[in-house]
Formats: sequence, C-alpha cells, structure tokens
Amino acid sequence: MSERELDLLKGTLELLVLTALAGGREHHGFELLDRIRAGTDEALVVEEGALYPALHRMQKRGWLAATWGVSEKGRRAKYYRLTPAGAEALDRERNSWARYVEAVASLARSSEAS
Amino acid sequence: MTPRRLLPHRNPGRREAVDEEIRHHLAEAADRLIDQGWDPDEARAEAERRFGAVERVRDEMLAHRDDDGRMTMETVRALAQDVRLTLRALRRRPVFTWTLVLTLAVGIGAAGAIFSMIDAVLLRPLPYDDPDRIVEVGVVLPDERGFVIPSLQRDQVEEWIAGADFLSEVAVHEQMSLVRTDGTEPENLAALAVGPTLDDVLGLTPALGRAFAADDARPGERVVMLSYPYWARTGRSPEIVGQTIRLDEEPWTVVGVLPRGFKYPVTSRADLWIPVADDYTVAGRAQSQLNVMGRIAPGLTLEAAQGRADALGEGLTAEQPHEIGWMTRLQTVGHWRGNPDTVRGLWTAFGAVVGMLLIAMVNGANLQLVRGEDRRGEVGVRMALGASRGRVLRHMLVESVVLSLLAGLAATGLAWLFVEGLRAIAPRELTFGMVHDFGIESRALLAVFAVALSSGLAVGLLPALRTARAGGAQDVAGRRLTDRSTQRLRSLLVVGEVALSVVLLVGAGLFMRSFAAIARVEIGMDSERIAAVGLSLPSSRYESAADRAAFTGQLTERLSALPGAVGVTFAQGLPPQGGGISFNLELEAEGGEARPIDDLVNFNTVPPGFISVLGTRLHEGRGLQAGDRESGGVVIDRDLARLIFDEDRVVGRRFRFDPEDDWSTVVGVVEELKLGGLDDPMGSAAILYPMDPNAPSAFLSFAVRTDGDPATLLPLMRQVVHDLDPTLPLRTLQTGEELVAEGLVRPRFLVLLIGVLAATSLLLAVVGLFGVVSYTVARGRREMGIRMALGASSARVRGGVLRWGLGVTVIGVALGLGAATLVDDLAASLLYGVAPGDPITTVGVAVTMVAAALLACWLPAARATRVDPAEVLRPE
Repeated sequence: MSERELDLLKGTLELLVLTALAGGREHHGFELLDRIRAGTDEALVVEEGALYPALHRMQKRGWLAATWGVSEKGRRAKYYRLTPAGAEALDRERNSWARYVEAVASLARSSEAS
Repeated sequence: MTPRRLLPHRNPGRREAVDEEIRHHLAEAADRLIDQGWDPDEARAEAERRFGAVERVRDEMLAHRDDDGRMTMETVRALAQDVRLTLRALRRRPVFTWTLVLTLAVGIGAAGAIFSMIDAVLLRPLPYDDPDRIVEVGVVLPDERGFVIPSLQRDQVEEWIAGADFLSEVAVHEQMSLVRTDGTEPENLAALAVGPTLDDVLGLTPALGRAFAADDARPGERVVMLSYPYWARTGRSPEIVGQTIRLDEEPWTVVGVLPRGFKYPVTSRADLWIPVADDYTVAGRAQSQLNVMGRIAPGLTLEAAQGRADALGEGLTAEQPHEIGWMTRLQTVGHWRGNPDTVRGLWTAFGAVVGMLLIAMVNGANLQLVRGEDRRGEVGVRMALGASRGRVLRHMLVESVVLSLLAGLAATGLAWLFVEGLRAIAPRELTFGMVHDFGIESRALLAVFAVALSSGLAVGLLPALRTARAGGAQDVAGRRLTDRSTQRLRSLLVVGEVALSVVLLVGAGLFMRSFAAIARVEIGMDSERIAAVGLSLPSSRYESAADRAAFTGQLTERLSALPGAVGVTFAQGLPPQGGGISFNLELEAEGGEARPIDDLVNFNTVPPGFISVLGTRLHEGRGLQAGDRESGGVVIDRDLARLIFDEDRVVGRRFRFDPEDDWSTVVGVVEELKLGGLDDPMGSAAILYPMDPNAPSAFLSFAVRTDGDPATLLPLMRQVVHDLDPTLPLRTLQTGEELVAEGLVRPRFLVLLIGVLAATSLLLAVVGLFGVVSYTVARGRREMGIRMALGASSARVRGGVLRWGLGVTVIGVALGLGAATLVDDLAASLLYGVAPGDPITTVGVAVTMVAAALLACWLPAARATRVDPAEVLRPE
C-alpha cells in the first residue's frame, strides 16, 4: 500500500460507485473497481470485500438495478446500473460531499491562516 | 459497455447469485494477475487473498441489515436458506438423519401416547361447569372401618335432600340395563336414570332436541335421551327426536341427544338416559337405593359443607334412626378418577416412557456429538474463511431445530399409532370410568411438539457449542484425534444410557415374572372344555323369583341336550372373575374362642353340581347337594381353610358371619378357587353357598362342559337362548379359555407396555453403545495402526476397546440396579407373586445388559484389528 493511498471514508464508497455508474453506464463489480481506481489515479484503494456488500446494500435501497449478462471474457457477470432513485441519490451525495469538502477545506484554511 | 442480454434463464437463488458474483470477480482478478505474468494457480490464490474473507463478505451481502440496524426480511431469508441447506445436507446423510429422527420420534411418540392416556384418565379437567364444586354423596357405614357406599337408601333420599341446604342443586341417578327389542337382535343397553334437575347441576346443552324437563319426572312418563355415541352408532338420524323406541317391551319417546363426548361423572358410559320420577321410581319400578350428587352452595367450602352434612346426619339419626345410618361423606366428582392401582400403573408406564425418552435423547446427543466431531474440519475451514462463530452456531442450531421438527412430525404419527395400539390392549377397567375418550388431541399434540423441539434443541445445543468452540488450525488439518474431554463426555452419556435401560429392564423383568406368576395361578376350573354364556334377566319380563327359576330350569335342560354337553351349571359368575361379590366379612371359628377374620372373602351362590361341571378338584369331603341349603352346608376352598382353621381336616367344622346368623357347616374343601380376579392377592379365599333353586339371581352365567370343542358349542348356545326368549340379549358368549384370558388383560397390559418400552430402551442403549464404539474405533484407526506397527498384538488392541465398553457397561449396570431398587418399590403393589429386588430378575438383567454391551463392542473391535498398519500410516 503506497503512501498515496487513502483510507476510504465511510459513505464515500457509495458516492464513488454512484459516480462510476453515472450517465447510464452499466458495469459489473470488477469493472467498477477498475474504474474507481483509474478515476482516482489509484489514490483510493477500494477493498474488494467491502465493494460487494455495498453494491447489494445500494441495490436493496433501490439506488441500483442489476442484470445478469455475459462479460467480454464470456463469463456470466452481474451488471449494475443507476435507477432514477440512484441518480437522485448521486445528486444528493454529490452536494453533501461538496459541502463536506468545503467545510473541511475552510477549516483547514482557517487553521493554516491562524 | 453494454452487456449482451442472456437468453431467459433460471433466476438463480440469492445465495447462488452471490456466489456466482464472487466467483466472477475472483476469475476476473485472477485473469488480471495472469496477464501480469502470474502462474495461474498462484494467481487464483492471490485473487482470493486480496478479496478477503469470502464467507464474511457473502454473509454481509446476504444478510445485511438496514442502516438503522433493524433485522430485515433478509435475515428471515437467510434462516430459510439455512433450513434449505440443512435439508439438503440431511438428505445427503440418510443414515445419520433417520437414526436420529427415528430415535427421537420413537421416544417422543411413546411419551406422547402415554401422556394422552394419563391426560384423559387423570389430568384433563372434567367437562362440567365448575367441576370442583360438584360432589357425590356417600353413606359412611356405621362400623369402625369407615367404609363408604356411594348411594343412599330409597327411604333416606327424600329426608336427606330436604335437609341438605348446603347443596344448591341436587340430582339423583341410578344405573340400570334396558333391553331394546325393536332392532334385529335384542340388545342390552346401559341406561342411566337421572333426576330431571340434572342439567342444572352439570350444565348440559343437548346436541339435538331437549334435555329433561320437570314434566318428564311425572311417574309413568316414558321419555329417553340417547347418548351421542349410541345415536351415532344407530344411524345418526336427524329426525330421531320425537320417534319411539321399544325398551323392555314398552314404547319410549326420544326427546333429545346428549352432547358429544358428554359423560355423567362417577358412572360408566350409558347408551340411554331416562328420568328418575318425582316419587323416585324409575320406569315405574321402585329403586332400593339411589345415588345423590349436588353442587356445593355458593359461599361454602367443601369442608364447611361436610360440616353441615355431619350436623344434618346427627340430627336425622336422633329423629329417626336408620339401620344404614345418616352419616354422609361429600366427595368431589374428580376424586374417583382412576382406581389407585390404575393410577400407579399409569405413572409407572409414564416413568418408563420418560426413561426411554431420556435414552433416546442421550443417543441423539451422542450422534450429534459424533457428527459435530466430523464437522470440526468443515467448521474450521468456514471460520478461517471468516464465518463468525454465531453464524456457525446458528447454522448448527437450525439443523437441530429442523431435525427436531422432523422428529416431531414422525413422533406425531407414531404417537397416533401407539394410541391406537394402547386402545386395543387397554383393559376395560382403565377406560370404564373415563370421562374423556383418549386419543391424540390438541393437548397431546402440543406436548409432543414441545417435547420434540426442546429435546431437539437440548440434543443439538451441547454438541453445537462444542463444535463451534473448536475451529483451530488443527481442526482444519482434520488430523486431530478425538480429544479427551469429548471422549469422557461420551463415556458419561453411555453410562447414563446403560443405567436408565437397566432400571427399565428391571421393571419389565419384574412385571414379566409377575405376569408369569399370574398366568400360572390355579383358578380352580378346568377351563379347556367349557363354553359359557352370560345373561341378565330383565325385571320387566322376569319379575318374580318363580319366573327366573322357570327360565333357568328350562335353559339348563336345553343346554344339557346340546351335542357333546356332559354337564351344565350356572352361577352369578364363573372363575376366575367370579362375578360373585367380594365382601368384607367377619368369620368366626367354632370351638373354644371365636376368632374374627379380617380378610376379604369372596363368595358365590351355586347350585349342586357346580364344582363337578367346572372340574374343580375336591380336596376333602363332598360337593354341595340338595338339602345343604336347609342344613347350612357350605363348600370352602383351601385358602379359606388355611385362613380360618389351623388343622388340615376341616369338614364338619362350623363358622358364621354374624352372631345372629345360623352356623354354616363345612361339608367339603376344594382346591384354591379364584373368584376375585387373577391378580388380586387379597380375597383369594372363597366360599360356595348353596343357591336357592326357587330364587336364582337375575344376573347369571351358564357353563356347559363338553367332551368336544367348546367353540363349536357357542353358536348353538346362542340359538338355544334365542328359542327360549327371542327378546333376551346375550351379555357374554365365550369359551372357558377366553374367560381366563379376560382375567389376564390388566396384567398383560402392564407387561406389554413396560416390556415394549424396556425392550426398545435396551435396543436404543445398545445402538448408542455400538455407535460410540464404532465411531471411536474409526477415529482411532491411525492410532491403532501405529500401535500394531509397533508390535501390539491384535488381541491387545481388541482388548482395549472391549475393556472400555465393558467398563462403562458395568458402571452403568451398577448405577442402574441401585436406582432400580429405589424406583421399583413404587411398583411393588402392582406385582403379584414376585417382590422388588427379585434376584432372578436382577441377575437376568445384569447378564442381558452386559451381553448386549459386549456384542455392541465386539463387532467394531474386531474391525479395529483388521486395520492395515501400512494403509493408515501412509501420509494423508
């Protein structure tokens, strides 16, 4: 684990998944891991054991829908996509994430300033 | 990227889907590593390592909770999944499953059957409003013995009831027999005459029509209610109300049908109910005595009511003395439930069945323990893969519950079978006074299931905990030998099992010896060539003694004319039941001091020739002759001779019952004559009185001695009775052998019951021992192989196994025999001719148990020595 890798904050994983699926994309779990890694310059390491339970949790919450299909390599795989509720959730999470980052950043700035 | 849709396919189960998703991930991850140059095998291993604890992730995916932590349907689904998995796993191990399920089911089913019998006889509340306040009134006989007869004399009833202000409602009843003559065959029906206020006392709602009303109590009214079973037996006609049936040659109007399952307390089952008239006559006939029941007046306790009854009795005694006396005893109607021997017999059976159930449970626990040991490897792997201890425990408990439910289902079926069996062999006296029918009903079912579930859990919990506690690296390796504490626990269970079955075997042995003693009892009748018919002459047709004398004379004549008949006699009853009255008599020996004899004595009133027809051997003197009645001659049996006279020669000696009576002179002594039943150790002494030929009883049994097969005589006898009186029903029609067999019903019932329970227990114990030994041997193969490779002889190895088996058996037998001496004292009063601690039984049981145990150990031990050292030492 390199020093650039960060621990995933609670709830962040969901945002990452939602983001990765935004725009009507469909991915199976392994692709999602790749996308999250690629999309964060491999700064964030998603624990594989945490991803799948999160996917199921979100599917149950109605944010994700899943279809069984065949992957590029010809294997049966489970593909996830956003539901309308998932899209809403993405907006909401994005906003609260932005506020969160803003809040932490301003605190960091103010302590820097002081 | 957009996946290609698959063709419609089976929607995979949730768990399969999760597994597949994980499998897919691992495959992709491994591919990635292979692309990076990993060796394929190592790549797969590395992919799994990176994924983490598969089992835990899978659990989280399957059974995650809502964010607020509430259990979701997922948990329920996970449980259902566990159940499905368990069922599949059990199907894969049919021997284990069926052994466990059947072992438990037999134990629970038998317990359920016995419980439903006890429930019906003793426990279930009586089906009346507030039954604890209903009392029956008995008269305390004015002698020092305090004997209570359950009825008042006819001339007492009115005064007593008038004074009984401590009873709010009073009803009278009397049991009788009526002959229905409008059917194809004349039929004897049990009738119960009841006072019209009865439904107030008991709270009664008829199934059809109405209950008796005040008008029905007018003398001369002929109205009848049918019992539900009788109505059902005779066609269930819904239009029965208002119809007329012929009873004792008179037309009676049916006014109603009693509710289903309704039974009058303290009487045997009646087919018909008729009213007692206002003047206390029944069907126009005066009754000599009547039974009285009542409800304790509101605000009074039983004790207070008894106090008022005593005061009433003293007052009436002062006013108008009565020979029987006015002192009464109030007893709640629940008081009579089951005679003491029956009750003791039932609880003995219950104890036996609980013992058997315990053995079954111990066996179950042993099996589970063995299985748990087998699964340590599996559990170890699962826990290493991240399954939590709770998860593993839950799975094992689910398995226990599933097994117990299966056992419960099987037990219900078995209980039903057992109950049918019990009904078939139950002696009449058990079901005679029963208020409730016994069968598998909701209460018993509930009990069966509760026992099944709790025993399943009990049986599963301990092994489950032990297995879940394990799960170390050694277990994963699966190479670990049985650990010592488990071995010790198993030895302990086997010792308990052996001890329990020894207690049961001792009980069964005692009952069997007792039965053998009863079956050997000399009844004083050569029953092989006897055919017997029992009749009750209804007083409507045979009102006077002369009528009865004429009938018996004619019947004797016609029976004597039957082919093969060599002699005919009749009496109130025939041995061994006697049918005669066993009564508390005082006897006095003549010569010097008079000696009161306090024992019960049976007597029968018989015509001359009685003993020669029955084949009763004469020991001394002669049989009864015409004229003995006038001179006071009687015949006694040797039991009585021993009881009241010291010397051997007793002919010519005299005794009497009461100082005011005439002397009776012994004219003959016969061999022991059984009149009070086969297994009654009391009252075996018997007196035969000469019958008054002009006044025979109305309740008679005729015996025909034949030189052919008595069975062929029976239909002819039926025809003879029918020719003589077509309206007269037969009470009984049987051969002498059947007559004797009837007396064995009760002892045989107990022997069968306890014997079957004990035999099953022995089998279970041996199966348990066998299972444990086999398993230990199987687990210890490696060790034995090593020992044999190191030079231990096969005999030595075999000896080790046998020594262990013998050790636990001997300890178990010793404990069992000790416990048996404590327990079997309780059964002492049920035994005949054998005492608890009987050496033959004790030794027999010990030998049987040790032999069975040796057999159970020998087979696996012999197998143990066939171990090939080379094979077991090969690396695994």
